[in-house]
This record gives sequence, C-alpha cells and structure tokens, in this order.
Amino acid sequence: MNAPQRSIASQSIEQTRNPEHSLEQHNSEVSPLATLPLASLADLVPWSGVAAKAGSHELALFYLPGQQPELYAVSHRDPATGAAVIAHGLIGESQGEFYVASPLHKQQYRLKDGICLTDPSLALSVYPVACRQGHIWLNSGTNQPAQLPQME
Amino acid sequence: MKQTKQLVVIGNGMVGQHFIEQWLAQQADSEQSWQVTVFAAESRPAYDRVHLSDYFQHLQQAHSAEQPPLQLASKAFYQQPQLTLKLNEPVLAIDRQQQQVQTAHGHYRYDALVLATGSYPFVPPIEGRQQPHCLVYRTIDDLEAIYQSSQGASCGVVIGGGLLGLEAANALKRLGLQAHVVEFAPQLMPVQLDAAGGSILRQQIEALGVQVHTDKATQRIVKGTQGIVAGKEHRLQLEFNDGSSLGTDLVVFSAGIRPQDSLAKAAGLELGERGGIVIDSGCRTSDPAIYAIGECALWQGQLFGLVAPGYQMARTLAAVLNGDSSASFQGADMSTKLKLLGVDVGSIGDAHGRSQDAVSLYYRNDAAGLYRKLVLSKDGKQLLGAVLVGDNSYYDALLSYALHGLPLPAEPESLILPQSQTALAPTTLPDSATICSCHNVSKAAVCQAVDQGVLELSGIKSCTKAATGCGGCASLLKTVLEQELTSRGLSVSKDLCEHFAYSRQELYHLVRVGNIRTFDQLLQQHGKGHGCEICKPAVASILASCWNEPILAKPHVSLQDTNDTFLANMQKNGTYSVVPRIPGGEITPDMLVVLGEVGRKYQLYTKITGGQRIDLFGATLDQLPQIWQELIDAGFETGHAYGKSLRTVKSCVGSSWCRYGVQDSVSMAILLENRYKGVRAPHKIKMAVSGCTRECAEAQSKDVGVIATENGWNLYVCGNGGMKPRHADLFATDLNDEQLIRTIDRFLMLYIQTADRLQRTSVWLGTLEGGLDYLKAVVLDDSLQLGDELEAQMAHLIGAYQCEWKTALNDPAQRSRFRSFVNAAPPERASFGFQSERGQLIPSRTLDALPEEIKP
Repeated sequence: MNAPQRSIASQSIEQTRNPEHSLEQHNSEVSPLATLPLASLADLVPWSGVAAKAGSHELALFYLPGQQPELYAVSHRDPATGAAVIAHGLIGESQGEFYVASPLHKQQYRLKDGICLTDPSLALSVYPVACRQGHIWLNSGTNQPAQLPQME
Repeated sequence: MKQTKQLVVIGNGMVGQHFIEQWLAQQADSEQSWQVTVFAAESRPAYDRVHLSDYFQHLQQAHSAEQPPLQLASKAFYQQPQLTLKLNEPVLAIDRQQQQVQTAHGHYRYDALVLATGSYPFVPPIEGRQQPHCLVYRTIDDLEAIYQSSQGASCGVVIGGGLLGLEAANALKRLGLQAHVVEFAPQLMPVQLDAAGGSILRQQIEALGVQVHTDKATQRIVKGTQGIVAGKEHRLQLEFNDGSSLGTDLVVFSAGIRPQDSLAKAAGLELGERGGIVIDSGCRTSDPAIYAIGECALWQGQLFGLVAPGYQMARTLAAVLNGDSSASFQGADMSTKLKLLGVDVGSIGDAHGRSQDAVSLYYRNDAAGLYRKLVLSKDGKQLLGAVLVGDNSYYDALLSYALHGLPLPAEPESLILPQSQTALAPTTLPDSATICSCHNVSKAAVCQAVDQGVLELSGIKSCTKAATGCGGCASLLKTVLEQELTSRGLSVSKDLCEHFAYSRQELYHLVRVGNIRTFDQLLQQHGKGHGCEICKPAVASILASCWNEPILAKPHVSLQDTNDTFLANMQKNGTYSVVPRIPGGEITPDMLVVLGEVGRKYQLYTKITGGQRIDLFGATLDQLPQIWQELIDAGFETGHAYGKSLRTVKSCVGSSWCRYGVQDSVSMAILLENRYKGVRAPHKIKMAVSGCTRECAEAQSKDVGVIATENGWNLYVCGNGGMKPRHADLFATDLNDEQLIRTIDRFLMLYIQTADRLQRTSVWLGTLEGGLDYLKAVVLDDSLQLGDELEAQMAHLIGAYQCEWKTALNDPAQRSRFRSFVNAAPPERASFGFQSERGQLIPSRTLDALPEEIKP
C-alpha cells in the first residue's frame, strides 16, 4: 500500500465508522463493548488478513478497501483443526458475499457471520471491529471492558 | 565367430528398399551375420513411385545431390558395410542348383534370394504401339521420355482410365499438354468405383480440362494427319473400334500392370495361372531358398498392386529371415484413398456390392461433384464396402467400421449424409460400438465411467484406458464424452471460476497479449466480482509465469496461497517447514553441518525428502526470517518447496563415481535445477537425471526424466509418481547437452502456457488431442513454429530469477509480515502443541494442547 492509497482508504473507513452501524453490521447480539486497540491501519494488508490478539483471543483481521464494510474480524483458529491459521487464508467472493478459505483444507467461512459455506457443522466466531484515528478497535466507543462473544 | 551368409535381393523398388531397411534394422539382434547384395535394373536407387507425377515439379526445383527428387534413402544408407547396391545390373538368370544369380558382370552365390522384381506396364496388343512417341508410365526413365516427347507437343493421350492412367494424365497436364484419357470400360476406375462414382469422377475430371473417352477400344495407332482444328497437325492418330479417331502428339499406355515374373518362370519356380510368383505366408516360393515380395508375388491366388501390402510382405520377410518363425503375411486390405488430379477418390472393401444379398445406400450431388455409397450386409448391421468421390473426409471412419466390423448405427445413411460432420456420429453409435480398438473399450464402458462420476477426458482415459494406445480414437472419445455429458445435462464448462469465464490457457494468453501485470487489471478487463481462492493463486501463477516479478511484490501478496505468502509450507498445526535448495542432491559436509546446526538451534524436526534434500519442520511464522537469514548467510537459497514450480532434479552419482555410469548425471542435474529453479508453472514440476540405463534416479517417474546413453541423453516426459503413477514417455533420444536443454525449455514452456490449473504434465498430456505425437511435432519438429518464442520466454523467466527469501529479507516491509500477531509478542512455540518422538518434536497427537476455547 503506497502513501496516497493509504490516506484514501483510511478516509473512507473514517467516513463509514459509525459505531452503531458497525455493531449492526457485525453481531447485534453482542453487548456494548469497551474499546481495545488491535492494530494500526498500516499493519493491515489490503484484501488479505493479519492476526491480532485480544486478551487470550486470537483474531483474524481482514481488510477489504472500498467495500461495505471494509473491516472484518473473525476467530483466527481454524475450527476444523484447531490451528491458528485463518488470518492466512485467501479472501474469496461468491455472488457478492465475501468469505475466507481456510489455508489448511479450504473450507469457506462467510466473513459477515462466520458461517461455514462448505460444511454446516463448522463456524467461526465473529467480532465487531471499527477503524478510528488510523487504528483498529475491537468495538464500541465506551470505556467499558470488552466483552467478547461466547464460544459455541 | 559369426559366419557370413549371402543374401541377394533382385530389384530396388519401393518394396525391395523397404525390405532391406527392415532387414538391416533387425540384423543388429541377429546371431547370423549376413552380407546383402541388391541388383537393380534401373540406374537410380529406390524412389517413390506413388508420387511419380510430382517428378516434373521436382525437376524445376533445386535439389540436393545427397538425395535426388523422390529418392527414398540417402546416399549414406547405401554406404553401410553390409550392403552392396549394384545399379544398372539386371539379373539375367537364376541357377537354383548352384544357388547363384548371373548378371552381365558375373555370378553371385546366394544363401537366400529375394525377388522384389515388381511389375511391368501392360501394353495392349494394339497395332502401331511400338512407334516413337508411344510410351509407358512406370519409371523415372519413362517420365523423362515423356518429358522429351512433350517438347513441341500440344496434346497427349493416356490409354487406360484406371488409377495409374489418371496419374499419367495428371503428368501430361503438368507438362502443359491437353490431356485425353481413353478407357476401354464404360467408366473410369472400373476396379475401385461403381458406375455412378465413375461418372461423378469423370464430371469432376472433365471440369479440370481433361478429356475423357470411355467405352472405346483402340484398334491401331497410325502416323498423324491434318487435325480438324485448322492447320494443326498431330504426330499420331488413334483409330477406335467404333470408327472414330483422335489426333495426338504422344500416347502413354497405362492399362494396368503385370507381375514381373520372367526370371522366376525361367528358373522353374511355381507361378500362378495368370502370372505371379506363388508364395506362402512366410513369403517363401516353391524353392525354400528363394522368396518373393511385392507386386511380383502371388499369395493365395491374389496379387497386390499397392505399396502398403508390399511393405507388409517386406516386414514379414525381414522377420522370417532373421529367424522369427511367427512372422506371417496374412493378406492385406486393398482399400484406397487418393487424390487424382485433385479429386478425392476412396474405395473400401466390396465397393461393387458383389457380396451375397448386399444392400447399398447412396448419396449423390451432381452439382457439387459428390458421390458416396455404402455397401451393407443384408441385415444392415455391417459395412462391407464404400465408394467416395469428391470428399475423402468420410474415409477414415468408414474404413474403421469396415475393418473392425463395428456395428453400424440404426440409420447408417447418417454416415454419408452431408449434415453428419463427423462421420462417426457418436450419438448414433450403439453402446456396443468399440471406441478404442487398442484396448477394446466400448461406448458402454465410457458411459459407465461417466455414470460413476468421471467427467473429464483425462479421467475417462485413465479409468477405461481408451485412447491410451495408438491415440487414434482420442477425438472420437472426446466427442462421445461431451455428448454423454450434454445428454446428462452436465455443462462442459472450462471456466476457471465464477469470476473468469476463461480457461487457464485462455487467461494466460490474455495476460501475455494484453501485457497485464496485476490481478486487478485482469479482473477489470476480463473478469467480474472480486476473485476467490481458485482464481487468485491461478492468476498469480500466470503472472509469475509471464513476467516473473517477485511473488511478494505488493500487488501480488493477497493472491498467494499461504505457502507462497510466507515462502514456506504450512503444516497441520500452523507451523511451517523450511526447505533450502540442494541442487541435484549434492551437498558439502560443511553445508550439511549448517543445516544440522540450524535444526538443532531452532529445535526443528529434520527429515530427508524424496527429492534428495532436507526438510526442517516446526518453525513458527516469527522464526522464519531468522532461520532463513542464517541459511542464506551460509550460502543456501530458497528451495521453492512451497511453490507451483520446479521442486528438485534428483540424480544418481553417474559417471564421476559409478562404474556403470556413462554420463555425468550429477552435473547435468545441477545444471537443470539451477536453470529452471523459480519458474512458476500450473503445478509443481519434478525432474531426475540418471547416469545410465539402470535408472537409479527413477527419472521415468518424473515430469522430465533424463537418462544417459553412450551418445548423450534420452529424454522422457510426463511421468508421475504419487497418486496416479505413470511411466514417462520416451520423447527424444541421444540428445547432446544443448539439444536436451532446448527441448526441455520448449516442453516446459508449452506446458506452462497450455495446461490447466493444478494440472501435472502427466494429466496435461492426456488432454492434448494428438497426444505424444502432437507434443513431439510441436516441440521437436516445431510444427507450430512456436519454438523460438517458447525458448525466448523461457530465457526471460530464467533471466528474471531471484531467491525469494533473499529478496524478502532485504525488504523491511516484507520482512515485517512474518509475525504471528500484529499487536502482540510472538506466541510461545509450545503453544502450537508439540510432543517428542524418537528424539525430535512433532505436532501433538491429541487436542490437549489446544486452547480451552476451541475444544469440541
């Protein structure tokens, strides 16, 4: 990502950053969350993933510049094997919906809700995230401690 | 000590020549040592009589002294020590008692004598047939005489409207003469064609300006008189039995041939009632030391006036004389397909419908000059014969029906009607029809495979073996498969995925031709949507195969599979393995120590791979740059074990150590590995080089296998180990180093350009229509004139090579990507879950080591 691209990208993220909106986009069942810094925008790789830690949780962050939304966070652990690899999967698109393909056995997980498109017995946890001031935050604008979604 | 025996061959025509070639080829294996002497009445070594009318064309072109026009073998062939060719020395007599032949120059003893005397042109007993400008059409000398006679002439007559007569008419036409054909029978080519076929042929030939006179018997040839055309005098005049006449400047007799059996007759060998030297199935005459082959030989009352049966006899006899008692001539199919004066003519089997109760089906189109006839058995199920005029594209399919006795479709007329483009219309083939005769695969077997879910040509080939013999049925098989898929409602889509409605091969060309450098460009111009895990790595590979830019350059990073992204192979627990390149499997003790030290320092599981290198397992993402830095500092480079590219070139120790080795296989393997390392391909590529035929490097199981010979290298291609083992095919023999490399360059580049994604060379070969022969034609004979381009592209890829690990380590941005978490310290290596086994760490066999949260 070169410099001009970055500024355009971060601008568009800033513009779409409405926290309530992001909450709806991700997981409306999650209770209001405290802010946790996860990564700087510069750490992200466009159309690819990086892994970040939130407490003991390992998250995979995907950055899809120009899309609505542009950021996704899901569990980094591959539900099929237990290996921490999901952030290294390829992003795919089918019929306008985005998914990540596990790098180990290529199961596809829909980014917006974690549902596995190829094996109904599997799913990824999803986390609400947003970008603010050039940093990626595990969601909510309040100062309450983050409460992470329950694992299935 | 071998005892030398004498083999004498009389006649150096096409069949005689084929015999000595076959015989010499088999001599190498023979216990017995023979000396062969060939006597020829003509002044030229064997030449191609089938294309005699091309001779005038050749005369006008420059030709080499090494091999004059139409000559079958080079000068060098006749210089072999075992072979003596005596031109201009006809044999005058055979002394069977003394086992000698006599010529004008002496007597020659024989242990075995072969008569390949051919035939002579039949000249009907017409009064005046022996005067000047009355000629025959059989030899090059005859053609030169015709050429001399044509000087100052304006027209010529051929007597005989058969196959040879029409060829002779073609020769006259080429000399610029007005050509006439006079035929005794009511039609042209009475042997091969029926009346209707003859009439369409006549119409076509007359349209080309050749005058045809049928039903005419020539009574005498007299000196010419004033022509009917004002002031035009002809040298000769033909007078016919119906009182008419025809003026001409020369006459060519081509009214059939007769077996040249006069020597045999004088020697008292058994002849047929109407001539021909009687032979048995081993080509032996009534004298066990004398054999006869070709047009002079009579087998079961039958003469064979075509070259193909003559060649069969020649091969049979060569085998018999070399001690193969099983060799036997079993007759020959006399079907013919040829172009006469530019008109297609084909005749198969019982063209006249003489078989009992035969029924016929016709298609005739006078306007287009097309005629086709099928002769069927009474029940309509077998094809007995066929006649074709005007379009021989139907011939091959019809011949296979007739020769193999294939059951005909319910409506056999579909085979000759114009709308059936492929005459062997697969939908009309019954289930019992044989698709592949080499492996006896029926259509039903193919359908069954499709029913079992085999939907690709390569799969059908491997599970039914169809089209894996001679390959002749490959396109028929493909058509059958496509029809079966269509009839089951399965689409035959070659689209890469939903984002690109193109095959990989098409995308490759779009990228090259459009000079496309990024995935986004390609998607924008030729695709839709945002891509997926199928098309992204495929396009990344195509881009690398075309331009060979570093795969981790910015625009390409998000396209790569994990292994390519981190230049390492991800293992089941999320750690990576490290494989440095060890070209040819040769490594110094010092380098080996480096690997050992790195393995010990980072507690890596260490194993020797099948490709003669060392795999270090269990590195975390965060450790990879440090480990590689140490390896590169010691002189290693990346092994591309993660890439769809050349893996290794395995080698045996070869002539440098091995007492059997004939070439330096290690040096060649290192050369090849360094040449092709890093070249991105549709799938991984494995190679091997063996130093002798013992084949210790197992080259025949590789995509590219090289085996040393005394004279250079034999090249094998498209082998595979793994899930579907396949022995590689011998592709070229006795190549020198430069030829070997050039051939591999072309082969690999063609594979890169045309294979499907994730298609190994073995499967790719199966998808090529024309198979190995096609591949040889393109790569070795440059039939598509792609050779230079393929070599240039390969040179570009090789020139753009860089060690990807070195590049990544030198670029801080790339290096910074090798971290497990962007916001946290590297994880403890133990958190990946290891256990100890036989003194090394392997991934934990239980899920105990996994974090609480993801336990089932």
